[in-house]
Amino acid sequence: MGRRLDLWFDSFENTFDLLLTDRPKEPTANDDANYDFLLYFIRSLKTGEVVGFSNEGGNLATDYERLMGLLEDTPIPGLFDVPELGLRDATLDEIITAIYCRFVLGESAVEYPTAEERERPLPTMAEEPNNFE
Amino acid sequence: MVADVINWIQEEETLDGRLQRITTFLENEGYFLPSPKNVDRSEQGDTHFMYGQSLTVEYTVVDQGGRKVYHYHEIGVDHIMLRRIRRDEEWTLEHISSIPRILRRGKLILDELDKVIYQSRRTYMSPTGERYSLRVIIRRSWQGIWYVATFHPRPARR
Repeated sequence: MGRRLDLWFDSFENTFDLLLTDRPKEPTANDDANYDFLLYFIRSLKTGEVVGFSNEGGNLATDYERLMGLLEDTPIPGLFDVPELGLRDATLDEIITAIYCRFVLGESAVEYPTAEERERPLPTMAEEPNNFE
Repeated sequence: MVADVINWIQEEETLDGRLQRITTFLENEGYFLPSPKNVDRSEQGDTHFMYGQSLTVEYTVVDQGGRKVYHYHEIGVDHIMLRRIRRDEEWTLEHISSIPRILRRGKLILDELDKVIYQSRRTYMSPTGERYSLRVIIRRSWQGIWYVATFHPRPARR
């Protein structure tokens, strides 16, 4: 089972926040990653731990393909559950694709394959590093 | 807890009602929401239509790149403030009045055709004592209007 992410989508500019539900209640901030300011790690200011992801300031409708290319070059390790999307053990690129299909393309009737049925597009690391940089 | 606060704010149907509840929430948390100074309010109250929504001009600022940047009341309340509260980052909202200064004197981080990112030159202290800077992201709409899209904290480099 992956770590659970809560999803919040802002349809005004097609932006999302994905936050770990088991994160500690500590101040957080958007940290740059290697994703051309199209995707941010939400980090705890106190520990530096990544507690979520966001494309704040972007627009998934226009940034999706570029973002997928960047995630292909630099995959983000880890598997996550996103109940709002019916996803279990999903990689971040799968989650963003599901958000794009559901909220940007409006494919509300899309059924996502179960974790067992899906072909993982990205390899996941055996051990997740604490430091994503 | 946060969800309760967000629901309570969103129960207010009007934008000003939601802003009043946000102000009350912040005051209860010990924060205040100052108004920005040295901004041009000559177009305040004008409405623009963008992304299927009518937006009300709060003020404009000319940034260091010479762009006239609009700050819309609706984006400020429903998209910037609510997002910060939803993410437990309400402590940054006390500095929301710094947006014009960051646009005029901040560090230029990214300059793209339709998106520019500025960062505050000064750093601030979080409630638990960590330092952070503030970022302002402006975007250009398809009508060619530059506007403040968001305002968020970023960890200061140690």
